Amino acid sequence: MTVVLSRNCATELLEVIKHLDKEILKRIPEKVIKMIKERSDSSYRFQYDSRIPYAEQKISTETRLALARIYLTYCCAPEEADDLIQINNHMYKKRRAETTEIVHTIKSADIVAPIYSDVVVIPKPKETRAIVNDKTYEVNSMVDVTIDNDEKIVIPENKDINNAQTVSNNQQMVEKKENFFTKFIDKIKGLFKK
Amino acid sequence: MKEYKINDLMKLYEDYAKTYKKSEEELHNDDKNVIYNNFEDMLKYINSATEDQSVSEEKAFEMAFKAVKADDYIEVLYPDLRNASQEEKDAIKKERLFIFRNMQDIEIECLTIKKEFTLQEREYTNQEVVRQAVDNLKNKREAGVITAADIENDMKKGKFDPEKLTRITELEISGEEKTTEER
Repeated sequence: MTVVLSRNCATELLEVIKHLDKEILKRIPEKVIKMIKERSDSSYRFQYDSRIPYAEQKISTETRLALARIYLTYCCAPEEADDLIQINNHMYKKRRAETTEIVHTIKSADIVAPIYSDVVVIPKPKETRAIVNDKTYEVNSMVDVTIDNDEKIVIPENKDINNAQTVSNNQQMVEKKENFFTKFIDKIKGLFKK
Repeated sequence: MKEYKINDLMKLYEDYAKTYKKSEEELHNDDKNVIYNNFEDMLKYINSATEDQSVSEEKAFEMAFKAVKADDYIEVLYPDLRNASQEEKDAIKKERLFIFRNMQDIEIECLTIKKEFTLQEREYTNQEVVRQAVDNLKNKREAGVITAADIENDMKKGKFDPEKLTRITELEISGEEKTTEER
C-alpha cells in the first residue's frame, strides 16, 4: 500500500522541514525538497508554531507519517530504519490492544465508541434521565451531568422534566390557534363560494 | 497499593527498553544498575503516580525511571548541590524538569558530544559532556528546532499504521498517482 502526498500535506511538510535540525536537513536531497515545494499549495494556510514542541504541534498524521518516512529513507542507516519500523509496529499493536481493551470496557457499559482511533470518543446519548431525591430529571447530554464531592448528581438549572412539559404545552396552544385560524379562513372561503 | 519487588521493575524495564534502537543500547548499559541503586525512590514515584488510576503501571514506571535518571544527571551537574542557595536550587529544579522531559534527546546529545571530543582528542569529564548536551538542547528548543529524537518519538509511540510506515519513493513525493500495477 502506498500513500501519495496530498497538497495540504506537502504544504504542512514544507513548513515543518524549515524547522528541522540542520543535521537532518542536510541529509535530505534537494530534489526531494523541490518536489515537496512544487506539490505544496500556497492557498492552504499552515503555520508551524516554533514555541511549541514538535510532539504537541497541530500537524496531521499524514504529515507526521511523511516526515517519518523521509527520515527513514534519507537520514537513517538501513538497519536503523528497520529498527525504528519494528519499534513502531510493536508499539502500534500494543496501543491497539490497549484501545480495544478500553473499548470493550466501554461497550460493557452499553456505550458504543469507535475502535482503534487515537482518541476514544464517547458519543453523547440523545436523552438521559436522572433520578435524584425521587424526582426524575431529563438532561440533554452526559456532559451536563456532573457529580459533586458528596456524590450527588448535580443537574444544571432549567433542564428538568417540568420545563420540558411546559414547552410541549406551549406547542399545543400554538397548534390550537392554528386550527381556529384555519377554520376562520375556511368559513370566509365558504361565504365566497356561496 | 501494589507491593513491587525488584523483579517487577526489571520486567517493566524490559518492556520499556523495547523502544530503544540497537544503536542506543550502549546508552542504556547502566539502566539496570540505575533501577537497583534507586529502587526505593522508584517505588515512591510509582506508587505516587499510580494513585491516579488513569496512569498505567507502564507509564508510572517510565516516569519513575526518567525521574531517577534526571536526578543522576543533576548530581553530575551539581556535585555540591547541598550547599546551593535557595535561588540556585530553584533554577536547578527547573533544569531537572527540562532533563526529565527531554531525557532521550539529552542522552543522544551526550553520545554525540563524546564522539566529537574523542575525534578532537580532547579529554573530558562527564560534567562537561552533560552540561554541553543540556545547553545545546535548550538552545534548540528555544529556537523551535525539530530534532531526530522528535521524529523518532512518533515511531517509538507507535503512531503509524505499520502498512504505511515504509520507505518513501520519489513518485509519492511528487504526488503522481500510481497505476494499479505499481501499487
